[in-house]
Amino acid sequence: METSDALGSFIEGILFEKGADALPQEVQDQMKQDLLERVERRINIAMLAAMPPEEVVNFEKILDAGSDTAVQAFVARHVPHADEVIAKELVEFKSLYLSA
Amino acid sequence: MEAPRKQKIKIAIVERTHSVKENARDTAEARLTENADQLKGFKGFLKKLWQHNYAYDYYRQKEITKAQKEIHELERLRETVADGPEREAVESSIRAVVKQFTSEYAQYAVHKDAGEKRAVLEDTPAEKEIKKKILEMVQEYALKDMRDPQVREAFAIERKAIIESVAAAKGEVLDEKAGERNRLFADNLEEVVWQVQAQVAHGTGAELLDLEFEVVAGRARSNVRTDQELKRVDGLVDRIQSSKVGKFLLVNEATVAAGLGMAASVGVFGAKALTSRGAAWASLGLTALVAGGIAAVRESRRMEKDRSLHSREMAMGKKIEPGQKRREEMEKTRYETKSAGELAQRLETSLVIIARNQPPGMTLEQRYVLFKDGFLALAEVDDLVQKGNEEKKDYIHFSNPQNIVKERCELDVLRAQLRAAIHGTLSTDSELHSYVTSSTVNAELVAQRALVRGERETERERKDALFSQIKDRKVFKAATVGALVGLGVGLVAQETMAFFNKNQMGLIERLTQGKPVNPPDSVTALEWVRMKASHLINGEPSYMLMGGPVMDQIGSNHIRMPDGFSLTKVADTVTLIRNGEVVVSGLTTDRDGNFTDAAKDLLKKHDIALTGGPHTAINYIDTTVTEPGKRVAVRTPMSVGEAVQDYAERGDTKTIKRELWYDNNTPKPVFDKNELRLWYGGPNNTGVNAAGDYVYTVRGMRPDGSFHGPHSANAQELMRTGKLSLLLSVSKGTQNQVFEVAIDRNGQAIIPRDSEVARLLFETDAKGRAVFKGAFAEVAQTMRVREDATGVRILATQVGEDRPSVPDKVTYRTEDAITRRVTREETIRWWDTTINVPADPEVDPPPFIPFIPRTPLERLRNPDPLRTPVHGPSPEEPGHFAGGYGYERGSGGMKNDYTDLEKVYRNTQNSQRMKELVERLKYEKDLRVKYRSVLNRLKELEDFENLPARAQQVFEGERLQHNKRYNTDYSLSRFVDMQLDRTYRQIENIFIEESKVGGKPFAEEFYKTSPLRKGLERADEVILMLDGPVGDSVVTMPVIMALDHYFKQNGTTKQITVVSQHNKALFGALETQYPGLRVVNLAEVKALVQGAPNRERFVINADKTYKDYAALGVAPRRAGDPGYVMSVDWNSWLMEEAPREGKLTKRYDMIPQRVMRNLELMTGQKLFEDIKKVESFIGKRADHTEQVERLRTKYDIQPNEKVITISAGAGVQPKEYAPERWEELLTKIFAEHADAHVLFLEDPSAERRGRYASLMERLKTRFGRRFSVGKENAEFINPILAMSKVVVTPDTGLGHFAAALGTPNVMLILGDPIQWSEPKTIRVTHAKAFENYRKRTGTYALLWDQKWKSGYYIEENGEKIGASSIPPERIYKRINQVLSKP
Repeated sequence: METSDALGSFIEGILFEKGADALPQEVQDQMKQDLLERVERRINIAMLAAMPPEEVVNFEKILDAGSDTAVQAFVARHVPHADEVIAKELVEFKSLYLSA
Repeated sequence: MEAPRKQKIKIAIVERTHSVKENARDTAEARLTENADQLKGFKGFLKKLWQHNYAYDYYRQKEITKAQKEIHELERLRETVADGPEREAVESSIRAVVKQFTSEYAQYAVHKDAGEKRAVLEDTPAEKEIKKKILEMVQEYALKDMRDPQVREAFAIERKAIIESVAAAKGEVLDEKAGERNRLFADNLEEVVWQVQAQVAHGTGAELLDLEFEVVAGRARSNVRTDQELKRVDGLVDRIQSSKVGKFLLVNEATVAAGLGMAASVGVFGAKALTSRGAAWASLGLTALVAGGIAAVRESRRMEKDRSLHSREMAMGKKIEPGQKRREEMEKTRYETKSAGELAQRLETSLVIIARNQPPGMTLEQRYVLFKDGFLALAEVDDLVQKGNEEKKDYIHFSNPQNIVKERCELDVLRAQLRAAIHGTLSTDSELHSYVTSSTVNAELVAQRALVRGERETERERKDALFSQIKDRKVFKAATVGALVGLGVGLVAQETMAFFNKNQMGLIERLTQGKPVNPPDSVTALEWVRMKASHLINGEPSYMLMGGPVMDQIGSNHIRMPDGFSLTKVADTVTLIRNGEVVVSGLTTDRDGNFTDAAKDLLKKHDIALTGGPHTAINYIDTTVTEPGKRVAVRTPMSVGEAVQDYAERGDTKTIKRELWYDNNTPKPVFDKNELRLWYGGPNNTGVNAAGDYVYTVRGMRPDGSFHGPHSANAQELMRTGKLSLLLSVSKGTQNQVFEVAIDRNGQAIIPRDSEVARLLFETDAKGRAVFKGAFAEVAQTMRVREDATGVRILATQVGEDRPSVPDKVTYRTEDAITRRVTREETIRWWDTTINVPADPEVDPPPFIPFIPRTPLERLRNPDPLRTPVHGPSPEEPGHFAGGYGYERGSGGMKNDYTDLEKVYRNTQNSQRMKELVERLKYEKDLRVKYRSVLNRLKELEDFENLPARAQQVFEGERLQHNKRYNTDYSLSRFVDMQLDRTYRQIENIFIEESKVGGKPFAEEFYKTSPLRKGLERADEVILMLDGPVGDSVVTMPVIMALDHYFKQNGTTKQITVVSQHNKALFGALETQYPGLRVVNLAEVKALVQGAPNRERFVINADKTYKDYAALGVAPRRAGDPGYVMSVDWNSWLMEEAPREGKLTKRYDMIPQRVMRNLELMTGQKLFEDIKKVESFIGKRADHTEQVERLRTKYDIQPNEKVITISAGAGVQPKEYAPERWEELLTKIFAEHADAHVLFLEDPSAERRGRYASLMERLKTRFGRRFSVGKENAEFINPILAMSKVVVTPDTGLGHFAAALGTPNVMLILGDPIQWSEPKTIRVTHAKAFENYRKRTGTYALLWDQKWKSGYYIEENGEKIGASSIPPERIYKRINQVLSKP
């Protein structure tokens, strides 16, 4: 899956609150892209951290061989409260970004 | 005949990208640890907040990048530099990997279960081509100069191409995909070139044609095993981010949406969306909860990470320093690890036991016991290795990070060897084999193995549970602190912002600026708390709404209320309502509508106050008024007649009829008598009196001056009776109408100045005299009053000027009436009342600002090789150290005539004499039994060549272990020779140990030929030349003690002369200690020698530079004769071992103990009862007691005070303790020991005195009498140090001197802590000290490097090293131990 549209809106919101809407569109686009990558990375790290350690080895195998869908299915199966994990990451991400 | 098989050269090309990345991470994470003292103050708080918490990931990544860069730079160095220390740093780890993959035990050494892979290049066409290229390259470069930079550059390119081709051919056993950048390999291609070059150099060149290679490819996992959570995550995320499908999320859109929704519900989409305060409070609570939760999650993850990091670092051999609380806590949860060295030793021991030919006659049970020990040892090590690999945990720790591969590989080799030995034993001992494989025994073995596993499992569970407890506690604390700190910071921020918000009142704003006139719309949370507290204490609300827009009226009371309030009259009472709810009811009012006192009390109970009171006002009423017309005078000129007529009509005049003139019978124009007596009155008869009135007087008239005919008038009488009057005629024509003025009893007639008569008839002239302007002024006697006229008789007449001032005629007319409007004022009385209700400003939730600091793990000390495994000087090489003091023997003025003590004076170099000693050991029954193990070992060593292979294998194991421990590379034959020498020395020691004091246990031949004994017997005088440095001299003191014992035990007396070139005064007390001994300087000894040139002398020259033996009384031709001269220095004395029963040995390693035992061995005589019990070598002065008395008085040292003497100076500055560190230490001592008196010795060097001057001044100011600066000459140093309870020094001469006196000396040391010690030395060691001990360098050579001479620290590999690195707490601990003793 490519970048989530919802995440894009989330990032746009953060940029708006940061006052970046006054910047040239080109700069905004770059910032958005950068923040998107960061937030995605954070979410991915959080997902891996939330995964039972014994499953990480299996996950590596899936990652090597499986499709995106298979990877996501695996994560969904082994990180049952993924929405909470994401929420926490987003809250923290936004808090950090806006306070920086 | 079959041609000899060519030896295949093994080439390894092993990818270690993964390991290097792990190294970088380890380095990065280790750099992000910090000790508590680095986290103090505000700066420390910020670091904990930022570097160790919020930005941890950033800093970690930065450090990883930096570490990777450093590693790659080192790798590049390897390509360009042929040798040198920098290259060696990389090369050693690469060599270890190559050795691991090319070892004959590679199948064991390569850990597949840890992810390592290994494959050999086969004979497929492609792989054959690679081998061919390798051959060509080796052949080519074997003939080139590999030190030439151009050659190296070309070689690097070819090497890289070969590695890439191997990587392509054997990609399945490597880490990365082909084409990846920054891949790192361990290979021995260059080493092979060098090796072939060496062969060619010693051969014919044909060697180049016989080359044959075995090429091994693989990937290494060279690090410790504990998996770091983040490390794995790092790797996976990297893979995800760079995957072929591009970056993607691990979750689908729906999950992201759910997360976003949840985040939105806790306000993540910002305060802009929050419209109500309630929502803001809800958001605060949720945000705090989430932030607390985040802190908890973060802490949980970091705890896991910390545990992993700690386990990894400990497995690398790092050490916890005392007081590192987080580390100590973490250590409790670390799985137990076994030292790789100890495990290797255990395997070696088992290998020795199993491989060695068992003595004949051993029972099956005895053989089984030996077998079982080996089997279980192997099983345990196998378990530790395998489980560690599988579980990614460390159950084995290593001596240091650089040795991991090497130690692991050696362990693997030993495992393989022991396994082979066990199989070999079972294959040759069928009885044992049957026994072991029997079900009962097998079950026992299995059970025992399971027991060990079970214990380990239990230990793991216990530690996991403990970790969970600690983690839960920390996580809870982090969550709580996270929420509280976030709230706290938010409260402060809110207070600050309140200053800028006019609608919000903050606590600080309220306290500093007072109560505002109008209540604020809202208050901060802290102000809200103050409001509530104030209300509780004072009973009054903080803010009031003073009235408001709502108006009502009861009677004459006008009532004002805040918005939302209203009054309702119910029956006779009033109810106050707010927003439809009754606030107060039953309020009574008086007839004017005012609230009664009862009503006011009722309101007060609800914090409602009334203000206002009675008022009066003027009411203005407008009316219409008609006024009558004014009467207006109208003036018209009048004639005299008209005027007189007018007067007459008004009654102002009187009509008269002159009936008679009393002319005194003299008609006119004669006038006489009273006729002439009408005069003007007033002053000077001016006719005007003081009041301005006009005055006439007739007082001058005589009673008989008026008559006419018969008629007469008594003027005076008439005056008195009021019957005379003055008649004024206006004009002649009107003389019958006159104004009448009464004449009073005094004869005066006064006409008031303002009267009509005066205006009409008089005026005053310029001289102030009256002027009569009428016609006649007559004095008349009124006679009869008739209707028409009054009859009068005239007594006198004044004729006037007849020009009366006739006034205008005045007539009056009335004007018309006027009508106008008039405003009338009317006073009105009423009341106003304001109902003031308590204001209840909204309380704004503070923002939640999650500032949460986190304390990282403390930095571990670098591995201490002394402890695991124990190193130190090799018993096989007990002698000279590699360096020390930065000098080399024979260079730079150093002497080079050292006597080889072992060779010249000992049995060990004489095989015959050693043989005799060995024989005696064998034939003396008690000794034979007691030292059986020594004899057995000696036998094996002497007959090594004929030992069975398995027995030889034992020595091979020992050799490996030795090389590993002491970083040497001895061959087996060399090792065996060394062991043989060691055993001979041990046997010598046995005989000395077993002898009684004074005993001579060696063979007679020894005593007949010993050059030392002969020299001492020959000499009349023994001259001991001390070395220059005080410390070097002090460690030589046991020589004097040994000589003294020697001469006494042998019943002889010899002159001993001690020469100290620079410190004669310091050693003066030796003359008291050894009567007859003299201490002299060089000039004195020369004079003595010249005075007795023929005296026989034996010289022990311990000075490193002194070479002039003639000056000491030894002829030059005898200077090299060990019977005349023993030339040594501190580094000459050998460490000795005395075996005891079993395998234990007693070591003599301190220099003083070495000296004593060496002299025993060299003289062949037991000189000391027990060397280990000799604690002092220098005695006190003869006048010690008096000196102590003097010193205590001089420095005001109280009888109960314990003296702590400090000598801060040292020959080289990095040995010294920096002034600020001394101050910290002394502050602690004075604080903890009220009876401490510190005597800080003033240094003889002006430079050092300068450096410590301000410190001493400060300490004197701070501690007063209890701190003294000792200023004494050298001869009094002895009593000062001897009277001290403890002496604290750097590694310097006076410290050794104090310890040699028997005074405990706490010494800060960077050199070999064992060798450079006296029995009374209490060492506080720098980490370098252990390194020097391990390396057998004795001292830390860089201390003498000129580069560092002006500072307290040396910088080595980026680390600051110096005695000042030692924390004061460690030193204090040692001092305290001494002071606490009685």
